[in-house]
Amino acid sequence: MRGPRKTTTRLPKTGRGNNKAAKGNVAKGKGKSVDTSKSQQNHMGKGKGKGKQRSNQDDLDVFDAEDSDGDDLVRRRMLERVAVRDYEVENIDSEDDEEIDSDDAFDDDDADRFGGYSFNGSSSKRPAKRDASNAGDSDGSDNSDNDNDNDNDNDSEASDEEIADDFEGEDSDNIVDLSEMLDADSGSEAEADKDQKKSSGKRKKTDKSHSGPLSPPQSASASLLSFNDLALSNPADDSDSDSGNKINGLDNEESDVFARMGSDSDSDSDSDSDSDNASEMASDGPEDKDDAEKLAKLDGFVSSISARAPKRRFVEEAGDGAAEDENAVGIGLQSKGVSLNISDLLGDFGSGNSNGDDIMGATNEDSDKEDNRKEGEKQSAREIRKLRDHVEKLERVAKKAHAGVVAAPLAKRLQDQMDRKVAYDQTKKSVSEWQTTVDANRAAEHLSFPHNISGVHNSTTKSLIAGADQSKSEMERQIAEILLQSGMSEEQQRQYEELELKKVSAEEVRKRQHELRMMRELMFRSEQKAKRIAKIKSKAYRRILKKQKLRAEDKEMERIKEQDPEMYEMLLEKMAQKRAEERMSLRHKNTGKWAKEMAPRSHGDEDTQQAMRDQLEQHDKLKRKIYDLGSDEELSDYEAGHEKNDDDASDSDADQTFEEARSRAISKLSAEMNSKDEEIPDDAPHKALFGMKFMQNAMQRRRDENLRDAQLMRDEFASLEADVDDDGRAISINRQSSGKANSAKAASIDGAASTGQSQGRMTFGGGLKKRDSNQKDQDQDHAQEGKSASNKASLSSAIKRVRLNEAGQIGQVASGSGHRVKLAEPVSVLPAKASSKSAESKNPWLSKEAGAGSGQRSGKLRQLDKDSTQLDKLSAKLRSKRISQAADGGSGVSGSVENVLLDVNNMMSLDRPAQRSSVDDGNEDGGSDSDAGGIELQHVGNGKNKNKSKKKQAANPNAFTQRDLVEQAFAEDEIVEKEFEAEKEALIEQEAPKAKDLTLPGWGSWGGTGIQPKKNKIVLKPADGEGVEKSKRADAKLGSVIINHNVPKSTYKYYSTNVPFPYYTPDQYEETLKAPLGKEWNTAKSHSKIIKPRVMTKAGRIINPIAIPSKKKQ
Amino acid sequence: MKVKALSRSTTEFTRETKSDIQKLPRNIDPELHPLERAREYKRALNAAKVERMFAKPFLAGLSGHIDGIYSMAKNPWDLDNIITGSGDGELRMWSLTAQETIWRAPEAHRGIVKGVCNVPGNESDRFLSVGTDKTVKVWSRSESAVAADGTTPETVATYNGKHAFSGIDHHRHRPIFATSSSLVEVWDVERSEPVANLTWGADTINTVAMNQAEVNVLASCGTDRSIILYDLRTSSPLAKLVMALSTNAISWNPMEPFVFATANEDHNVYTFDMRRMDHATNVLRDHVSAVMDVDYSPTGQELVSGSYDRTVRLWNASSGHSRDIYHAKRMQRVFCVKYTLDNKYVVSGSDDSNLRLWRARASERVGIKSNRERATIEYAEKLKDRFKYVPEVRKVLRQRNVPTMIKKASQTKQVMLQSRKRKEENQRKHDKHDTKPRVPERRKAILGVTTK
Repeated sequence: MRGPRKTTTRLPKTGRGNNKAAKGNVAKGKGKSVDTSKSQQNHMGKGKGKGKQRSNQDDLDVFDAEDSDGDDLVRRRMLERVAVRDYEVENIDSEDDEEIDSDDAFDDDDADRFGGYSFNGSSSKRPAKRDASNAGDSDGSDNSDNDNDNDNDNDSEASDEEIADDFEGEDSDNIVDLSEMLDADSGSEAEADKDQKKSSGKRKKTDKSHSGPLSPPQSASASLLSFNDLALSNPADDSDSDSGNKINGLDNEESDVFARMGSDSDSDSDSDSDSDNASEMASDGPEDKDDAEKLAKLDGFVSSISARAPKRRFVEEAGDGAAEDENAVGIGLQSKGVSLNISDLLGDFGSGNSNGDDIMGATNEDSDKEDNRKEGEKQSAREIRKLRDHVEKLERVAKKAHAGVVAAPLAKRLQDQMDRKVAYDQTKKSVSEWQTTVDANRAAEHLSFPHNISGVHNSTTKSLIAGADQSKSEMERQIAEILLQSGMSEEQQRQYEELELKKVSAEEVRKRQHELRMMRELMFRSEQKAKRIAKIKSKAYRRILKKQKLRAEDKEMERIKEQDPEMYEMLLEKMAQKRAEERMSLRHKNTGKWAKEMAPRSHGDEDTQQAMRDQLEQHDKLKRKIYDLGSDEELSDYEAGHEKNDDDASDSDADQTFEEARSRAISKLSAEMNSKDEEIPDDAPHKALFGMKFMQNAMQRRRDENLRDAQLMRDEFASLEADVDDDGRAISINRQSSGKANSAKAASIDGAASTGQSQGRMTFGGGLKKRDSNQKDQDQDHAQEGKSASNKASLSSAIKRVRLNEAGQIGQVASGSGHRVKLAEPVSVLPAKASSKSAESKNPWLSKEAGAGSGQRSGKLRQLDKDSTQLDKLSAKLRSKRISQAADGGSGVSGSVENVLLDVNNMMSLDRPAQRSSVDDGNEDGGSDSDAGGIELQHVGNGKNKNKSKKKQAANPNAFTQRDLVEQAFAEDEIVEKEFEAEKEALIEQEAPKAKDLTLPGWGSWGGTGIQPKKNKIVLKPADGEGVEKSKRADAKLGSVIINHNVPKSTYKYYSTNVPFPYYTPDQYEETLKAPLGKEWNTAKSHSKIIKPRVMTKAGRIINPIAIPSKKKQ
Repeated sequence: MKVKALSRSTTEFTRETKSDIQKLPRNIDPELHPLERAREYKRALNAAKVERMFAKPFLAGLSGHIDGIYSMAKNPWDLDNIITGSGDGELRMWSLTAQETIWRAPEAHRGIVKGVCNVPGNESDRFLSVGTDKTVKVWSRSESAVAADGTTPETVATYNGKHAFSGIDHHRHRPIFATSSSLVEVWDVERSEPVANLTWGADTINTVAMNQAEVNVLASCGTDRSIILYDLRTSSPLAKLVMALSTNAISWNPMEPFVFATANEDHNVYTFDMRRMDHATNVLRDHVSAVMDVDYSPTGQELVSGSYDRTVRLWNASSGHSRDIYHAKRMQRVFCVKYTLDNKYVVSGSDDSNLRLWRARASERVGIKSNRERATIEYAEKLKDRFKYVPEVRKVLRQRNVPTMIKKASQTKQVMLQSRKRKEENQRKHDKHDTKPRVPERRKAILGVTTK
């Protein structure tokens, strides 16, 4: 019954414990003078039993009205009824009753048992449980005669004692429950009322011992006081025969308990939650409303108990017969999940009983009674303790019985199954402890038996150490100890030795210190000096210094040259390498290390100067290539940078550069042409071979060809000169696209201007406007305009642009938003054009038509890149120019392939020649399809506004179709196939059985007229098995395979027929055979290591099964 | 002043004895040792040939029994000792070194002696025997000495069982032994009644084997084709493995305590992991008749099995085929084999009443070897191992002359297996619904594992 309440309110455990202890003391103290008899207990029990039925207010009134005479009887009856009705405990002796009554029955942890308990009514009835018992009490007392006042007193005392015990007792919950008994519903109210109660208590206090500490609400004395007060105040209300009175009575009882406690042990003023609760409880007293409610609940509880009775009986029967009835009940309740405990019940009854007594005592309202009480108190305490012990015992039995009651056992078969399963799992687990050991053994390189203690694999270092310790005998241990003590342990000795080694003489130390000081001093000085020198700002000084350095270096070099020519060579080589690297790394601005080194030495050294000039030139070219001088902002950037960087050649113009290069190229070409005539006699070493006619012819042919080329090139250069003249610098720098060059040539100012603006780009699509004719030639303006133009173009159309370099490679892909992506490697997109007019710069892997259509020599076609020689590039440039000229002559279309800014919206489309329709260039002046200049680039996104001229625009915008790529990839497959076939043919021929002609030339073949040539030649037929017949070859029907028939069969026996099991590939297996094992090929040590067998055993030694210490003890 | 004189000690250039080996400087310059692969190959071939030349596995046939030897036990604490029980109820103890009987009990049991084992303990000279006469007899060499007239010595104790016993095995440490009859009983040596009965089902148990490493685990095999594991700690069976054919013997791996090998009626030896018995860890297939007994070598690396086909085979526990086959002209069906505890010998008892002692490695010779000799042998072993896949060497190494019967039987078996396989394949080929799944060889013989 207390359980549920406990759930509603929880008290701090510690407080409770303290309380218990304190109250335990109290109880003991009291126990000395208890005179209450068992009969009282019995009364109580009976009272309980009866109380069930009646929960009337009237009854309560009667009960309240001092009719405590018949308490004994009443209670006994009540108890009986409880026992009989609820639990069917038939033969309860008075002795048993006592036991039942004893408060120790409260011991059990109610929370657990009552957890699942619910009454018929609602949860709101919970608090009524307690009330029910009280009501029972009252009932009982009601029924009985009120004959014995003294008894009443004693009874009350006894019950008080019980409760005291209760508090003191083993059950922590009791305390809580007591306090909560009545306040579950109106707890808050109670709390609110608390202070009020206390004040009232103050008013009416009779117990002097508690008069003192009132104010602290938590103090036990305060609460006690309040109880007392209540108890004393109640009699006034008793006549009302109110339910409230009854509860007051209860409160009184409790307050009595506390009061006595207080009197017995004055110092017992622990601030306890218990007392708090008690006070709360007490506070309920005066509240009639609450009481009424509680009474109602009490009714509910009683009815619920009666309803539950049959079940309990059943349970009881099922329980242990030997167990006491109460216990059985307890068990039954527990097993039913009804968390009602007999002890609780008894406790309740007891308290109820005492309640009644208290009430009576209170009604007497005599101070004399107090003395009586105290006398009885002691007796009852003793009695109660006895009872408690007994009940405790019973509880234990009950618990045991409870434990014994389990579900009916499973069928043996099923049980066995389960057992086996569990056992198997356990054994598996246990056996698996070996796993690591076993794994280690399996993986071990070598196993030595019986010395290989397998357990070692598993054991920790710790255990090893422990084992080592154990292995020592007594004497060994003693010796070790002595050694340790005398500082002879390994560690100590080592330390000592180290110290000894560290020892040095004073002299030595001094010397070392001196050295160190000297070093520090020198270092400091040099540092200072370096600082000072570093501060000097004089250029002259720097120059001098530099010269000094150089001189020193030169001297050094000279010295090296003399002393160590090899070294010198090496150094020179290094320098050359450096230079090469520099060339490769595009650092050609004469600012590199090499250039700097060379600058002062190059005076009078034509070669070096030339090299440096070349370097500069190369730098220009490469720069141009990188930034693609045709472009806008980068050009300006470049040029600005160029001018800035080039200190010595600040005025060097692109014009000049070009001029220079051109002139040099021309001179070179002519020199070459000239030299070629005289070249032939130089081939002295090959005179014999080269002297032959056909060779000479061939050479001549080649020379002629070369000459023609050179001539052509020179002419082109010459023609370029004109361009330069006309078009100005812009062209020369930008290697103006031919169309524009032509337009310039035609002296069309507009055209020239536009050329200048567009920077040699051919722009497809709209947005490009014609420039003003009065566009300036200045670099800056030019660049700016180019920029703006391109910006306009790009912004207006939001296009992507692809820039092609002269070799038809995509150098850059620029998006409209101004991002420019430089491709890591130039991608060729330049197909050979369909028409022969402008098919010059075709790309060999892109189309077949191109090859057919163009009259160009394929040998001349080279893609230009970084590695191409200057000459190549120059010629390529010229060629492209010439091509464009030719194209221009035909149609006037700018068919330039050099720098083309292409608009590609999402992707670049490069049609195959068949599909391609037209190029629509920026100027829209190109009409014919054939003038595409080899490139078909579609502007997809903004095609509408520009591509009006397109007639057969390809549907597929993808630039490189799969077919193209495949074509490219397998471009030369046929050749390879043919080669392979030829090879195979040759091999077959070679391996075929051949007849041998043994005829010796000259023998038997006489010359002269009339002599018949010898008929019977000596021919040796091929022997059997010699050679392989063509038809019998294993690869006869295998087109792309050559099977070697020449393998010597004698070696077969050395080969494994297949790859042995643990290996997957022949290579793996071969690997195992690679390193020889013998001692001829290994050192003695490694040999012995290699040949060590995996498992070693010793004859005559027993090998015991594996065991590890932990496993041994089984 | 130090006087230098030209002097040479004779010890430097003379040999003390004839067998002394003069040390020669060795140059490992590869230039001086060309063609290493070819040379080593040749050496390997020679080694293989030498091995076969020296392969004389049979050491001794120990006669004495009148009936066939059907049970055998090696003393785990005495290398020399072998106890055998024969079909006529005779018990003999043999000294392997002396190659003679050192103790005998002519009428130890009425009927066949089904099992013998030693009582655990170093000092204990007691041993046990069980027979079909439902008795367990405790013997001691010292206590039950053989009488001069050759009558059966007194037993130390005789315990009566309820059923005819079929096998016995002892605990590793404690004086406990387990017997098998229609149930497995665990006995204390000092008590006349079994201390525990372990049952599962009602069939007759063929034999029982206690794990010598994981000492509380034991296994039994029964005529119901089952192998049952038990645990002494829980005194309960653990799991049952049912195979296609019944098992004749079980041997626990002494170095891998959860592994055991079973000698099966289906000519195969299976090894199992007791934790996962749904498949065998290895199937050793070479015998052409039922395998009657199997025993692990004390290193746990090898196995020896005796078969009804009159041969003893030796196996690497991890490989699928035997590494050697031992047979003798007059050797009959082999009923028990044991690997001796020094890993050097194999003992077999057969129907012909002879106990045979074999070398575990046919060409190995015991005895003290010089370092050079040992090194040479080891080198040869390595070479053989390295080149064992090369046809020539393989041929030499694998070539065995076996009795015609065995050869024929194996050929026939091969044909049978192949045809069976072919048939299955054909069925599979023409089966629409794939009702014949391919079962791995390691699962084929296993019908199921259960704890129920």
